[in-house]
Amino acid sequence: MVLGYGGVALLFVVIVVVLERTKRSGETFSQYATAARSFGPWFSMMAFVNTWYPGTMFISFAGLAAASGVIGFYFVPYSLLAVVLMYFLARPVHVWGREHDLRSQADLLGLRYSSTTVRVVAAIIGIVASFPWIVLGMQSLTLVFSYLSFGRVDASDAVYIGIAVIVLRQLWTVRMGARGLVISDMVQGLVAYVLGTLLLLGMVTWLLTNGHGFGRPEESFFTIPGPGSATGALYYFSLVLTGTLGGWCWPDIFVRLFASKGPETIKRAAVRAAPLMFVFGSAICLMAIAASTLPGVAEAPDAVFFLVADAIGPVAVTIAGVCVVAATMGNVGANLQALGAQTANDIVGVIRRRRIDSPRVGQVAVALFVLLSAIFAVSTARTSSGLVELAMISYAGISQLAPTLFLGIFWRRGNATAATVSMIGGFLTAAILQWQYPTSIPGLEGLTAGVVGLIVNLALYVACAYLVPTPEAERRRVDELFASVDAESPAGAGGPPSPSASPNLEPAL
Amino acid sequence: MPPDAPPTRRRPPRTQRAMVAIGVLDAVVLLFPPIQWWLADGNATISLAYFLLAGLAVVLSVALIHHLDAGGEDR
Repeated sequence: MVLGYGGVALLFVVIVVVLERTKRSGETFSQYATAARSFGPWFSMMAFVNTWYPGTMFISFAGLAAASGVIGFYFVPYSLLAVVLMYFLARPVHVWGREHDLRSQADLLGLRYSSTTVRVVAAIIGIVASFPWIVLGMQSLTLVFSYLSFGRVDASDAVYIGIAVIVLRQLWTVRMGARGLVISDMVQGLVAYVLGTLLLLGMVTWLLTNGHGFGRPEESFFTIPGPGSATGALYYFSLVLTGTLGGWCWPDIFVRLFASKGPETIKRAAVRAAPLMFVFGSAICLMAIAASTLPGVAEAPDAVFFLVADAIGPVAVTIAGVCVVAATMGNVGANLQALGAQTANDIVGVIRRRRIDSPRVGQVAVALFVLLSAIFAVSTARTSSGLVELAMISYAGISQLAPTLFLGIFWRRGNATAATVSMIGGFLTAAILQWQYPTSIPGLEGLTAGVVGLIVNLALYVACAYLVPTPEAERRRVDELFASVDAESPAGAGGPPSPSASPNLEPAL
Repeated sequence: MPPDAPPTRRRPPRTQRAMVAIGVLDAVVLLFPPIQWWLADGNATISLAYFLLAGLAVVLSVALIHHLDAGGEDR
């Protein structure tokens, strides 16, 4: 127990020391929410990955691969397609963000459509869909603290230890905002995804040399459901599509684009994130599939990572636990900070009818989200099950921002009516269908509620874009907005920085 | 464009089209259902090879897009 809990304590101390050594004071709300648009490609890359891959990758996602085989790979393709999208989003999002001091995803949509309604609706959908994910993140450490106690702490008690650790960690999230998150993401990311990948590859080697491997599981393990299958031929397609489009709709993921110091930085971050996400994600799936024949995995697939570590030895269990904690800290912290900042900026700011300038409002909002999610996490600690199913419900909802977001950024035609009608229509369609058909919709060849919601959503958006007239002044404003993306000072010309250029606040680590 | 407007940098249309085409190809490789039905059809080696090689191809494609883009430095 000393070894296991000591490993987590050591990680915690290292993160706190790094954060305290890089602390700055006197930030504005904008700097609190966006890390002053100051970070370079390495920090941007790790912040993106640590926000994208939560701790439950080691638990629920590994569990899906251990229980069902290659379908569990689905998060790797959608993550890579999201990186491709990241590349194309880089310039418009950063240019608009810098020129108009945007602090959140909803803020960007409010600017693009010149609409407070669009801004508030997007903010509310983002918050509603993200909140269950935070609660699940807090609860996902149950297995960690149960295994790290080496039999001394029961799972029903370990859940509370996990929640306490995550809540304690958020003291620094509340105080330091996005800048603290990006810096700690580097430490947490190195542990979770670099050390984690090495551990996973070691596990695969151990499994292959101890009588397990890819030849042992049955044939269905290596099959993606096709025509005539029980889940439907388009089920896998739906999972990947919803993941790809929905991923950029999460407020915490999107706001990472604002933390980078420029579009080229975001692009370089994308180039660096792709191999890390691919190798790490593939290693998890390969380990889980190879371990599917390990005793105990069939009964508790979500515990596959710890069952393999346990079979190797106590040091492996400790490293495994530390990896999950590091990944969870990054994801939960990013979510809480983004939701708090979004609430302050796009709900409190709209109610007060002025831009928020004081970071105190953001800190209070983040603190309230920490408290609220901790209460939910504790009160549902003994009843929650099926993390992946709940994650998919969240995805069905959040992905309904996609047409408004992507078409708004890449297509000039959309207007505020199109955005509002499509987001609400898509969200209601997805929510009702998801409630009725949690897996996929019978008669639609495995399409999920999220994808059907997206089809309705897209149809509404395009119809409104063509049928609802846009005033000439608004059309000109949108043209200028798009023109600003192409306009750029010559690279490396050495001219004076523009007044809006951000200071370099990246720590010298 | 007014005479005192800042100079603009546009990629050649062919390069821009190539970048978008690579992105579309990535989506086809990872999303087009018949590819998965055909390659992930019960054979462990072929199925795993599809997921690993398709993923690797997309990783390399992001680097290729960046090479074509050659956007320079942020200030």
